[in-house]
Amino acid sequence: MTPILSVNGLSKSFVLHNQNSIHLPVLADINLIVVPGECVVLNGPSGAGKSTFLRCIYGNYRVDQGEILIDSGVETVDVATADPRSIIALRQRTVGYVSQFLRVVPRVSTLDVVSEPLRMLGVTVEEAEDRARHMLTRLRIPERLWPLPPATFSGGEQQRVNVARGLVVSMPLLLLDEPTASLDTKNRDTVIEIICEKVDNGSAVVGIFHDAEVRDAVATRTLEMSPLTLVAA
Amino acid sequence: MTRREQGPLLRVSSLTKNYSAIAGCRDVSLDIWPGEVLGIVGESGSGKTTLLNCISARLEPTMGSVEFMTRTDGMVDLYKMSEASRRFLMRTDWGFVHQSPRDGLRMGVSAGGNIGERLMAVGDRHYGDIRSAASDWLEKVEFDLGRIDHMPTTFSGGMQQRLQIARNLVNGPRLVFMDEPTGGLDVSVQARLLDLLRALVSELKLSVVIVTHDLAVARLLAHRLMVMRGGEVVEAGLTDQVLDDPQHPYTQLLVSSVLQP
Repeated sequence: MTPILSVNGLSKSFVLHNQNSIHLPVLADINLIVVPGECVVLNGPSGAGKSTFLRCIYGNYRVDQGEILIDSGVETVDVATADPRSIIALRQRTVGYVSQFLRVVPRVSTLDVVSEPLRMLGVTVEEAEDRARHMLTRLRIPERLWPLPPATFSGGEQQRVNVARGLVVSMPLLLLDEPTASLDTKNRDTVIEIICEKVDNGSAVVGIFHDAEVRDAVATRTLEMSPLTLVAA
Repeated sequence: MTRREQGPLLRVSSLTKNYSAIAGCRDVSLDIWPGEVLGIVGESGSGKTTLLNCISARLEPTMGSVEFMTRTDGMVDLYKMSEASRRFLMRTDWGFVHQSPRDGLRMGVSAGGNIGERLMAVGDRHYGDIRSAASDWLEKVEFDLGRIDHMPTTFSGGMQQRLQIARNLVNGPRLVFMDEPTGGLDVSVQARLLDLLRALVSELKLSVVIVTHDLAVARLLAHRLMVMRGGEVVEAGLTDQVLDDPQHPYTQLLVSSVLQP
């Protein structure tokens, strides 16, 4: 099967210019190939660069070396060198990223927050809202909260709104950074259920889950990662 | 996808503007594609506004070119076209939202008149049509219709700014320039205006060049960012990449200097 994602020889470090130009290597020569229907869980202690790796794949962080090839169905895009327009196009149709943190926009209602990714794809407002309502119901966000902007919601509610927004569209490649952290058991199980449905339907997932139970429930395989030793610049 | 094939709407090549011996901005090149929002950030004096004025045909650059994809004649250099066709372009295909509404509004004309004037400038004459278009746009910017006949001097800063935006969008421009559109407003008014701008930009598929020193505004509205310092572009790229993984020492300083409320 054609891989949806091929990462070859990826290296990434941070240089903090305003802190004596300290040089922090985070990833060195990472390789990973993922095909549709796989769920690869990144495993390793805090500081191993798991989140950095996901952000590199999403195009949120730049890379020093290596390539990140994503198959958009039309063409293969190397996120490491692609121009901003190609990355924006990938994010609209091919790659989704879900963290546990919601970036709140003032005044935008919960229903609009969740239905927006669908509307961006050209789905009609009615259908987008229907699917958003369905997702919010599954994640147990009470209906009376739907017309409200999520800014004043509890941490757990905001997190579930964010998961609903991230999973309402079926992206071919999903990057999940601890979407179940600090959720109660019922909601955690629902998120597991949704992820498994996506994988069964052919989405590929690369994810970080510290909770062993979640990991065992969703992973088809794991990639072990360990922190690099710090070298002075 | 077809839009991408059309190519850029505005193309700026090696643009330099000198004020006598001092450089306003130096060797800037950029493209704006249909539906794209470009943010220009940097501290005061970094050359943001000089650049904006040069690329919006308001200030002739010392060197370099600014080309626009016209509806009829393809790419045309703005500073080589006649004054009359440049004026026509500015009235029809472009908008310019100033930081201070006083610079963008006619203060001696009513709210409705401010919008109607733009329509009359392109040949609309039917009073009823103009009036109803003005009301539609005032509603879109959440303006109290009961005040359509009042003078801008009687409006609050936030209302004036929303009126200025309506005045700029009524003609259906393809490219809108904005200079600190939310500067000088209270945060609550700012949030409302930002939400409004965000919705209008995506609904109308506008191309926008927005100058701001507020990184949160840039993150919310812009697809791409250019960071300027001392008249030069020091870093450019995808908005969240520039803000979350800044490479240039100045961008790192800028991003780390923002207070988290």
